[in-house]
Amino acid sequence: MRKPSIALRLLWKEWSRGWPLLAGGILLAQAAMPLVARGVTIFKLDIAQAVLFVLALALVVRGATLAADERDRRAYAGTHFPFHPARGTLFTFGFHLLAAMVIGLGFGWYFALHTDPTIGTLLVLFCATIYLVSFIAALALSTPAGIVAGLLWTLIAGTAPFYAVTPPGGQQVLTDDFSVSWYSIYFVVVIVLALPALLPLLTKRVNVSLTRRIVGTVLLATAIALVPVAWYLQSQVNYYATDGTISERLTSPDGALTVKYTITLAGKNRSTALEFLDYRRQRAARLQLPAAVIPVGLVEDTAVILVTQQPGKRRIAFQRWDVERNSRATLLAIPARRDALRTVASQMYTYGFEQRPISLSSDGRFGLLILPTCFGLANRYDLWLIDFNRRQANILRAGDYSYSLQVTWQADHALLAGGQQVDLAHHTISSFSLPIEEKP
Amino acid sequence: MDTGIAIETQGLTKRFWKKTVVDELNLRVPTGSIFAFLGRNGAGKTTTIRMLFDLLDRTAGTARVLGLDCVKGAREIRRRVGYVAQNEDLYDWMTVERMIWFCKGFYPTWDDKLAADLQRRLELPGDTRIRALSRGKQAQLALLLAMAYRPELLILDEPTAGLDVVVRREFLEGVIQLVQEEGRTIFFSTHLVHEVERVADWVGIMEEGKLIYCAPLDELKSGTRRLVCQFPNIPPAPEHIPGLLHSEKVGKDLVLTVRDYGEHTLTAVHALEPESVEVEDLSLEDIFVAMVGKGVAQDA
Repeated sequence: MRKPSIALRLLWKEWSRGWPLLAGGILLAQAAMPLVARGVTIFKLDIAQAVLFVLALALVVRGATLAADERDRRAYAGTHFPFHPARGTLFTFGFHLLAAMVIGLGFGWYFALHTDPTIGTLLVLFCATIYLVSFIAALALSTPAGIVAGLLWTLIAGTAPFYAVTPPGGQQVLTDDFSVSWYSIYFVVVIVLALPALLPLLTKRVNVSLTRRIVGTVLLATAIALVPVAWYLQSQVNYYATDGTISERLTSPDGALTVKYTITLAGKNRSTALEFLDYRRQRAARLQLPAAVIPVGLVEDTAVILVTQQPGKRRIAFQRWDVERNSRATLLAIPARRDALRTVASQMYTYGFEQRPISLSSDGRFGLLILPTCFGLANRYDLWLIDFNRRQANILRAGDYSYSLQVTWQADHALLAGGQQVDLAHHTISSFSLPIEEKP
Repeated sequence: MDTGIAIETQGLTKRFWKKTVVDELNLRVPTGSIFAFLGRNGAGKTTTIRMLFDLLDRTAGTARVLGLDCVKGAREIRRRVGYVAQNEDLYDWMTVERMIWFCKGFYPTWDDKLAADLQRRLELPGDTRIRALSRGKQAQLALLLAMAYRPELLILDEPTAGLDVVVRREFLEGVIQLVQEEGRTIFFSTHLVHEVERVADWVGIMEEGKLIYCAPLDELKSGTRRLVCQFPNIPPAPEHIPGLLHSEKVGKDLVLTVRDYGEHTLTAVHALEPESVEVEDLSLEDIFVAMVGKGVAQDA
């Protein structure tokens, strides 16, 4: 009869002291959203990063002070109430762990909606781990130790989250690899499971020597440290040095036509300058666009098929640039990860332009394009077939590791390096093998 | 089952590594008594109380509170025993009323009427946050929370430590009033001896982890005397004085503190051939100092 009452009262107690931080954290995050969307900076720090840092500091202090209360046996519940002393501590621990995750969600939802859903997960787990590290270190040693550990954790493990929350105009990183989330989930689960081992510290004052506590903490810290190291190493492969200028040219087979283009990827001032040169007719045309633009190919000597993506938008548009009229018409658009085209441009720069992930059939009817996948996995790619006549686009391969695109265009098929052929009429892909004639 | 003993320990021992903090403690606290558990700082009083509440593992021995084993019956003990420790860290973000409401849910025997009565008598403002209360008021609130569920035994562990004289007196008067009305067992741990003299009827004295004395207060006070012996010259060494607790030479006087005072004591003193002997009563504090202060003759 009393059990529900006890649980509810313990929850109420945690709520009564936890709601100011919870509400404050969520309100701060919501208040910062308009500024985040506009890419406002404070002291050269993106507002999103500043807010995340403030939230991290608050969680560090909260975790350390809560644990110190429990460790020093100052918690009233543990010594007075007629239930197990650890019960009050577990409610304290659990409630504020949940609160930390809610704060992470309160900030992460924006990025989940506008960038990648997994960034939301990343922030939730990041906030949870900050609280956990501070709580555990303060429990094992002292409040200052908890704060120092929490700050170190924030700096070490915060690499991916802090880059992930850069605003739409900022540097693009693909941190939404599932493995990051798995590491975080593993970490949270391990700590929660390890907590019962620490309960003797909570329920009985055990005279543990400083040496033993330090050794124990170092061992625990070592185990914990494996996670951010793995996390950091894993996240490294997702970062692209994209700030800068990328220049390339696209030339017709006979060399008479050339499209030179320069993509500027410096911060928010993203733009692409295109220059069309017709050596045969001694003509030239220029185009300046405030977006990442990559020419797909030349059509009928007078037009260029472009693929463009506006900053922060989750769609890629294929446009026809009529050079003579100097006009552009959108042919069709496909959904894409935010800043996917920028990533493509960066990869072309990184891996070499011979690894061009875009190809246009000689008659200009079809295009093949490799884009970072829409399905939440960094370092994986989708292969798109674009049918300009039908204004249709299909994903032929989803979430594939292959980035290279070497195509031989035929009338009704496109042959891909690696033994696959695309049926251009039916928009399908299948494997093929060349017949081998046996010698008699 | 009422055994007539509220607290009983047998050979209760606690060691922290090589240091023995409580050394084979054999303690019996009669039901209905007001037991002053005295000792200097670090004597082992708080450690003993923590073991009674199973807040600390014992190294050896047994302890029973209200007939319950202090480990197996820890929860039941906390349900039936009130506890006020020194510098109670109440939930200071709560108001007094909220704190009372929060605590009442944990005790089936909580008495709302008694809580309200105590709140009124202790003049605790309901809508004030605990952090805004003085330390004295916080100690009184802790006492209210420990008494409102009508515990059979109230354990007070240095509840007035750190409070000023006025507040200490207020607190103790509150305790005395309640005790007189309720007739409960009180186990009162303190090193402020003079403050429990008018409250306690039993005394236990701890020194360096050992219980060196345990008896009714009247018995202690009536059996302990100070003898001021005047000599014509330098006083002799006080040899063969039964029950000698403390001796001090002051000029030509020899001041002796003895327990189990009687004719045999005077006979032994007169054997030293003093010019005169004055016999004085002692306060509990004087007796305590004689027992645990320097120059104690433990085996006298």
